Amino acid sequence: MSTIYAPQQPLLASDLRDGTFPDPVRLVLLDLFRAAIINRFSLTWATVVAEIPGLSATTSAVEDFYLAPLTEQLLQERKFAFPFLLFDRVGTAEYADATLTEEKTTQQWDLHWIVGPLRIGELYRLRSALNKLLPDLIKDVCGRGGVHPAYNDGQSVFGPGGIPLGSMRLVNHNADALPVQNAGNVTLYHGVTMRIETTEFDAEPVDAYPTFLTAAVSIAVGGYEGLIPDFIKREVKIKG
Amino acid sequence: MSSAARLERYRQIADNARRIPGEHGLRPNRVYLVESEWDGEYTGEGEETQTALELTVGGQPPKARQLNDEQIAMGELAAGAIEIGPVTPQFSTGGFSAAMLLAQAVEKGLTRHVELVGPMGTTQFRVTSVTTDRALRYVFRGEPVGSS
Repeated sequence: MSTIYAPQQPLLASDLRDGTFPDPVRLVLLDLFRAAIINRFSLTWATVVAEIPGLSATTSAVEDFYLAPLTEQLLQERKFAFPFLLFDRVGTAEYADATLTEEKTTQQWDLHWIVGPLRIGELYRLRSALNKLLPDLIKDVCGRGGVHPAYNDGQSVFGPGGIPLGSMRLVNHNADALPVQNAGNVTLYHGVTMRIETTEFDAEPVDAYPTFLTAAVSIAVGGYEGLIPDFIKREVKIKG
Repeated sequence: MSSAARLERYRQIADNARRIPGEHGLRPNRVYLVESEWDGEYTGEGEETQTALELTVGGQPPKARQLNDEQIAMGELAAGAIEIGPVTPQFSTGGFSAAMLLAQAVEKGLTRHVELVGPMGTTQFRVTSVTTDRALRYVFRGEPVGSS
């Protein structure tokens, strides 16, 4: 692929087999959040899970991960391991003008970190992590423009050379147990679901035009804390 | 005779009885447990490799029946749902272990389906439940996910 973060036309059969290329934003964000969560628990995971059956053998705070919405069908068809990280686009995407020449897409995403069925004592131990620690972590990563020291050398996933995101924020989280039908009974899977909202700017299909006819200048505004995502916009665009 | 030996004997008897319809040609569907693995990073990415294990009772296909409307409604299952079994729990010379039916040893990232090959062609079902609380019978329920 000559261009990573812009759609190439026509779509190749290999792109579909890959499954992630037509929508690289989801792959980048999953990797970012996975790295952040593993890093957050890196010193304590063994202690956290030492006495939790089914988790005590795990070595990572993200033992398994996948790009999909959380559905009962997924849990029935795909073998998964706990803790299981799931991430994908959900809900209705909305389109609006961002500048005179550019549109933006507002999209919501669900990030699920599912620990598994827990006994009440284990749930007590993890309750603050589910209800406070992880949402705070994701809120922080979003607020800093997709920056985390454990991912991409601490570089923002936004802006020039990154994915075409304009902003990202944590909208809400829910740490209620997820009831899943299992062999005629209901199993409660414990974890946390975090709803994230992003704005994406339309990715120009640069491969569809001769290179010399298209130019884009990106302007980023930031300071000591890093880039300010809301100010990352393509202000100048010249297209033949 | 110990209780374990009795259980072994009962399971042998059950397995022998369950093969009779198949021997008379009355089990038109063959049933397979199919595991799928992809060579990409994510499930569904890259090339798929399937591994199939035929499910049998006494060497013959198990019963596979479509559920009626009431069973579908009460079980909250979709139209086209099926029930497969009884399958005999594992004994010294046959049967299947609960761990095998519950895919406990399947590696993460792989998918598992039940496949029926019969007069209606080949149809795959996702497993919605596996009942393993009886000493002499395990039963699957599934909903269709694809056919060819």
